[in-house]
Amino acid sequence: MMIKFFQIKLFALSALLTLLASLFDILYPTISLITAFFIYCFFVSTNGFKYFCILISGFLFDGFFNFDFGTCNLIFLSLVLFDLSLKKFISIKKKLINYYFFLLIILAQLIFLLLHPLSQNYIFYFIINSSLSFIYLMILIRYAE
Amino acid sequence: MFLSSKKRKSKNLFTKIDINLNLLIILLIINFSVYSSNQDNSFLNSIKKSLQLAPQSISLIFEFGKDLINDVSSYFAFKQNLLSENENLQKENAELKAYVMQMADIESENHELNNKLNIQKKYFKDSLVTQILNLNYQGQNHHFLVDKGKIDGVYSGQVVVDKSGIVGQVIEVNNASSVIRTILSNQLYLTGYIKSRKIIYQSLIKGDGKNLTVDYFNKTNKINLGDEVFTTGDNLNIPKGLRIGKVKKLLNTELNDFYKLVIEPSSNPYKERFLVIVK
Repeated sequence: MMIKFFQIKLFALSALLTLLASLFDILYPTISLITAFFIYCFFVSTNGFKYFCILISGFLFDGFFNFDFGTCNLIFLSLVLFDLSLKKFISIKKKLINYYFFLLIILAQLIFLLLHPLSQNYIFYFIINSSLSFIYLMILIRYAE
Repeated sequence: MFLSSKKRKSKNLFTKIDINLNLLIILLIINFSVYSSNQDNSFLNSIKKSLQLAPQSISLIFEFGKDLINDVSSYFAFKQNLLSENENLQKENAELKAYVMQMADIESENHELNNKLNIQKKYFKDSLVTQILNLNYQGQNHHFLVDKGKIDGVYSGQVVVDKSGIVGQVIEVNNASSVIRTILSNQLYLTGYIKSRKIIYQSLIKGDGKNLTVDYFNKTNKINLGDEVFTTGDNLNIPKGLRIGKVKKLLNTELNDFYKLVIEPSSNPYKERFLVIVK
């Protein structure tokens, strides 16, 4: 039960921060924070976040920020699929763990850009959002629990 | 790095959560189908609308505040503008009213002048149109000054008419002005005839201040109220047949055989601004 509340709180925090971040035109629409939230919940945290709760969070996030339904969950499920497939074929040293998260974030951003192709500033958008996502993930890892 | 903490060191890379690959693929397919479906359908749209926490909402609040401030300031500016505009319009309106009055004055003057010109053309080819300058000239009743004088060829004794009939006579001529004595003056005598059904009765007519009178008119002469009186034209300066007025009253006198006739003059110089001096 506590885990659920914790997850809800984290989701609410992510949504709120996204709301604030989205005030800047360059960051809107942004999925940086929810991507970091997914990665934290699914790949980092050991508290056993519920798989379906994450999917519901993604669905809600799509609703909140006027994305097409399924956008966030597609990204999330793609990351999970990527993780599964990677797990079967390679092993990564613990030292590279940060790069792995960074890879996931970049992958998430790429998938998002694939789903929502931007006509201009996409490199800038990509760099800014990836950085934001990574910073937020680091902060979550450090302070969330 | 953040992950270099002891806590993170104990953890493995990749998630430990067991996921059924089939389930994952099914979820992916479902998600993709939802994503690629028509998001504008009423069901999804209603969900989206009920959920929407649009980031624009905060910016909308800011924009609303900004708009509100703009609106309020523009309202006051607009009010100020309106007030000044109103003031300007009122001024303009007053000027226009004055102009319209002036134009009305000019129009009536023009109309009057046209009348006089018509009189001139129809009846008196050698005549002058003159403007009344000063009524009650030098305190004398039934005298007034007009703007034509010697230089215009005016001379003493000429009669002055308006569209209704004889008005008076020139009694004094200056260089650029003349003095007219009206027929209402008790100093002006006219010889006229009363035309009562084809019968003509000659008489001497003079003014009494308000009307014209014939002091003694034989009762055997049958006349009626409303009979018209014209000039006989026996004077060189007074043309024949100018309308003087109409018989208004028949009054008894101390002499039993005579009436005193009161004649209402047909002209009224006090309603005119322009007159015609007949040559």
